[in-house]
Amino acid sequence: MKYRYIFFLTILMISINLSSCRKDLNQNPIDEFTTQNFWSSPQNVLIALAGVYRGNIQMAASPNTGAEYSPTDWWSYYGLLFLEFASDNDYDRRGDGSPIVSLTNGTLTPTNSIISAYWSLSYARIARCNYFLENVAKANLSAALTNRYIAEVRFIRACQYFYLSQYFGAVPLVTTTLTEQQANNVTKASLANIYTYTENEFTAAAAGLPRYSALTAAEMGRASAQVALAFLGRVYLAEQKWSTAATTYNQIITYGDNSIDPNFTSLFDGSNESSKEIIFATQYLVNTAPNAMLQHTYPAALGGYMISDPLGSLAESFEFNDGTPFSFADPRYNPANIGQNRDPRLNYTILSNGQTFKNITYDSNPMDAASADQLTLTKQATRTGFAPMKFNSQVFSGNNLANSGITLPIIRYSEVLLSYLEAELESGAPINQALLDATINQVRGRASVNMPKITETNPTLLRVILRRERRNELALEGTRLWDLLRWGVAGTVLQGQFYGAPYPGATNLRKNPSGAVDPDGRWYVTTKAFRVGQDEHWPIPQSEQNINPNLR
Amino acid sequence: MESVSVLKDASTAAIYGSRAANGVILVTTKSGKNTDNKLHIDYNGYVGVQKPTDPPQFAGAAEYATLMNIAQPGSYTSAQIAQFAAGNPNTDWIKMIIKNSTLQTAHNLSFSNNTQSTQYMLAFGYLDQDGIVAKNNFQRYNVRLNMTNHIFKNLTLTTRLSGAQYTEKEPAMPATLQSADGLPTMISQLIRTPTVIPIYTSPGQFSTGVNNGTPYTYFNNESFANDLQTDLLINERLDYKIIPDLTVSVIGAYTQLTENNQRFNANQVLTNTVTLGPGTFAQYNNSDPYKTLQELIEYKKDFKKHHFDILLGHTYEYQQYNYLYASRGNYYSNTLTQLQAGDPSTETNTGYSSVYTLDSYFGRLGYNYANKYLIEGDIRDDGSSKFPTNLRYAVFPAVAVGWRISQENFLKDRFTWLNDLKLKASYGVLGNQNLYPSSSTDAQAYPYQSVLNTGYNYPFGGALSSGAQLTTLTDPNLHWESTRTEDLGLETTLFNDLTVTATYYDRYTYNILTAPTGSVSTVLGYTPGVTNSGKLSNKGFEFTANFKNHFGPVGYNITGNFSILNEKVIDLGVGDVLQPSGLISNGSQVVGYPLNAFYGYKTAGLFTSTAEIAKYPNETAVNPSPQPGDIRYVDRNGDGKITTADETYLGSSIPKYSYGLNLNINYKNFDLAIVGQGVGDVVNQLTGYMGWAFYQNGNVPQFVADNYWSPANNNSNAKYPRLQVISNAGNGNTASSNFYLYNASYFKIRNLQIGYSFPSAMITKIGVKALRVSLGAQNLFTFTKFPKGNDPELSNSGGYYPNLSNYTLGVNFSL
Repeated sequence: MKYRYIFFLTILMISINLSSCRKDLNQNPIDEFTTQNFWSSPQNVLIALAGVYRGNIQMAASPNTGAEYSPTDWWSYYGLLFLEFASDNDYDRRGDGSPIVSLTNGTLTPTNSIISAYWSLSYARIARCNYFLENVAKANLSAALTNRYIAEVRFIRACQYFYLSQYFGAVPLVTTTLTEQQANNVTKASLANIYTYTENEFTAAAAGLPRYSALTAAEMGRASAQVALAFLGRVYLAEQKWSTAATTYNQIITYGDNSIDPNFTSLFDGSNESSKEIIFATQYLVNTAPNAMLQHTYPAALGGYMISDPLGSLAESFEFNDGTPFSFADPRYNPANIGQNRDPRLNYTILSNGQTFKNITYDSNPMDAASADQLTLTKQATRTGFAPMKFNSQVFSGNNLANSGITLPIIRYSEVLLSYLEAELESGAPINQALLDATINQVRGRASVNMPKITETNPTLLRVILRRERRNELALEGTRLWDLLRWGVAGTVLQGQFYGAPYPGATNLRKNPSGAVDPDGRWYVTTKAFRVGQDEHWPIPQSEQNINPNLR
Repeated sequence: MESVSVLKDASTAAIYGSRAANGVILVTTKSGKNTDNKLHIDYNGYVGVQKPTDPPQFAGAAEYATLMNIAQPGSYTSAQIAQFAAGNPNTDWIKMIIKNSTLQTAHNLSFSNNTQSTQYMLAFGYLDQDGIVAKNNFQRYNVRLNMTNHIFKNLTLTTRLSGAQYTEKEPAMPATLQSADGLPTMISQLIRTPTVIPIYTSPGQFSTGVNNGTPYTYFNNESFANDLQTDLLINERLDYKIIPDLTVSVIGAYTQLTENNQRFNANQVLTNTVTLGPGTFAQYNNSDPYKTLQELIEYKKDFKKHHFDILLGHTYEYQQYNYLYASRGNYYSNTLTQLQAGDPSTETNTGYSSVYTLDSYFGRLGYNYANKYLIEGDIRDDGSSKFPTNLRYAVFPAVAVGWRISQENFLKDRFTWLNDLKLKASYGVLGNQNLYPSSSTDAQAYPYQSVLNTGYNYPFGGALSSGAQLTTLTDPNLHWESTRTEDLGLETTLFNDLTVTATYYDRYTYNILTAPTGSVSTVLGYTPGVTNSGKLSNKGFEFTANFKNHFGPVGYNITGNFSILNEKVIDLGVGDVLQPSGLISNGSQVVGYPLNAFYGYKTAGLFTSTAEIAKYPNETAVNPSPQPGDIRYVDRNGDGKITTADETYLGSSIPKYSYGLNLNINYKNFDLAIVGQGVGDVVNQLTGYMGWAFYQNGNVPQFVADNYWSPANNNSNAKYPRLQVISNAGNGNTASSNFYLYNASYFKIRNLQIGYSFPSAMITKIGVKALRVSLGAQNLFTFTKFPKGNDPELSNSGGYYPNLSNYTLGVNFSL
């Protein structure tokens, strides 16, 4: 009996084959692609391409939907649209301490959380692009396919440098994958170099990309030659290379693939996402890749956070419906219904007191304590008396405001037309009615807007009209701050007191800092003090300056 | 539990391998060891109440509104404030949600016996604990069998089997507010909500608060988060004494941890126009097998006064993680709350699996002469699958020496008061393969392998395309982290009753496995992966003294301990960034200072006038428009302006001094035990909802309301600056500074217990061998200067689980 146990024990000891353990230390991931074998398959290249398009845009899938609390990309809803809070169009419910409002009210510091978010997310996207471009050749795809993918990724990378150059100025130009040591020692490229780089990249991308009309329905959301040209046009506008800008924009117009959509509202509410007016847009999908924009922008009475509060300045920018500029003194002005007798885009853009929104009447009257949307300094509701209407889809049918699939236009054809006219105007080219009819009057003439034609050909007078038209047409879409900066007018426009909606007769209007109530019965909102010579470019984030002295 | 011992010196820990670099806590569970051949039954149990020790305190509604009018004039009318003062509303959310006391019950019952060939102990345990909020409960059932079979005189089989089930129930947020789920986050929302917000705005209409509801609606709905864990352990050990001095042992163990976590976020009607929903359901299951195999050969030999001890061994560990997650949405009612009741078109699922393995060979050679001179040497060869093939194995040596001086003739019998005196010293190096911070399990298991992370999907043409990204730059040359420990100690027993130990240790950790996130420019575009980056030194003294004696019929036993820790970051590796301040730091850790550092500006009170601001160094780089009541930051470099170059090390949350005092007294059948513990030279920080006023529409902590700067209280030393509404981006007064650091030294009475053991004469008659009843209290008192409503052990910005004190009535008996 005893020997049996000894035998058993010996077998046990022998069976423990020590060398087998050494083999067991070879463990490899079985649920993630290792970089070694990833690039061998054509399908994987598409997977990497989708990853490049996604960047870090927050698309919190159901059930873990949730709002963005800082920008996750230039093209996320927060990153794209809420930059308007730094302009004269819109205000942040969180008040003057908001990091976005701080960008232009004279309190910007290098520790601002928004600038570091934009900065780091831009370079994260650039790194995704560089990695893709360094590896795509390994997949042995057809030359045509490879070239298209390369053009798409170069386009996305160049967009990052476009935004970086417009807001930060001179920044490091990174076009290859860096090591940690290299990243910590990069130097800034001059603004001129970044411009040259983006010009070349967008030009090359446009040449390698299919035309808008060649994109299949399944490719909606992919880059086309037109969007690369539209961004190239933006670069030229920023550089004030007016005639090259005009040529570039004219190329898009000549292609004829895009057109002005008769239905303005449908471009922003998710009901017309394949419209030919939308040249490029951030794509979202309900449930699997949604945004939480409506959570942030819906009226409080419907459970929204009302973070985006349009300013009176924007409401007052919209013309009367005969095309004359707005004035409080004009008898057609009706404070009880400010959209009355006005450019219909006012009501398409701004929700004002007393207007119907879905199943409610929006009630922002500061005297109405029972309303969730009462204008106060304390409720989680408007700080200006206005709510946004553009993008605040009324056709949205879900209950969860953080789960919407509404795509966000980044480039619309109307911008192309207005930019083309601006380029022609500023280049000194003679302005004729045909040009006006082909551009600004197309935008004003869409069926749902139907504003009178512009006939002004005097460049100085037309410039005022064109800039107002651009502001009103593109309001709340995220381009206003850029326009003010490149026109060199931020120092005058983003200065002084700003007001909200008018409530004649209200006795609890917020007074301005000098203690006065606005004669037009508007609620005082904020005071801006853009620092000329300082705030045109954002500082490089403090944490980056700390790490790399070359960035100080 | 039979015993708990803490092994800290280099060589003792060596045998426990790569997980022991910072010491080992060895817990030995009881096996039946009574030798009387009888069945023993032991029971112990208690009932108790738990109470929050120091619930957070916030300004009442009228005070809140008054303060808000200072921060932001015109926010509330005097009529409104009068209403608040009358309680319309003045909602004490903390009182409403945090229970005053909760119940807990525990029972433990064991049976043990010893026959000649078999010893066993079978134990059952039960614990039921209510949380401090509604719908919060924890239950544990466990059973354990420890058994030793002496198959032959020289062959022993030891079996340890245990099974445990843990059920944890927590409240959950209503649908659409999942991002605030998890009890600490829910508590932060509770803390955030100001007292001016009512539960109802009008009959039947809930207030939408600051975030689609109020603490009332967050905690009173049909949502739930339930977690069920099952833990199974099998451990078999066979010891075979081939010859009396040579033992061969094989130990195999298998642990299976399974977890089923379900979360339902329910529909909730808030107002006529706001309904949160539709409901969603998510479930995940973890199944984590862990296997180990250990072979040991031990040879012991005594030759007269020479004693040899040789051990050779091998261990192999295999840890697997398996995870499966699924969810569905569109639950339009709250009655059906399982996966298949949801809308299939909204279903999502994911899952992963990862494995890591460890393989170690080790040997120990011990020798002592007459128990007077002791020496021991250990060597290990550790391998981990977490490192690349050529760097997988590393060798770690250790040596320890001891000298029992009291055994020497020149001391022995010379001083009768000297019972024992031992000097000891050790030196050793141990490896570590655990990574911190722990990230995804894949990054944990395969940290040197470069992978593209899935899930970066993007919609094209209205359909989702799978996407992946390379997000982390990994280090292909990752290798073992090492800790070198040197210590020197003295143990002595004097006058039979006094035991004193003193130890000096020097622990040096290098090749630290960490991701240098804060010190790599984001221009890199990737998250830096874990790399061998950094060096850390811990040096210190530990003293303990124990004295036991009696004073007439009163016996007592006093233990005191005191330790000094000098922790210093020596090197941050890749993170060695020379900051403008002249310090080398990655923005949180600072070379030359302890870990858990606070880094930022020193402050010198508050401004009291604009004239003073004009004369003071220019603060606009930190605070763009300084005003009276704002913080005066210290211009350390004296360049006339406050910049990041003025930042410095401000303190650490790791205490420099720790001490404890245990007192045991017995008198006749009564016993009393007190455990006290304290720390010194430590700071913690209160920010966010817990430390600031009006942060993100939040509350005003009472200690802020009690002493804040205002024109009426133009006091440079007020405890809080000018009141402002603070967004999530902070403001000029919230820059990292020592203004919100508080002295976190404390002394706590951790435990106090009074017991009475019934005289055996009284109870043997009824067949009871021993019977003791006791009253106990844990966390009874805290002595600290930390702001009231807060636990000094915690830097807090609002998301936490309040500290509890515990009062119990216990019974132990043996049959």
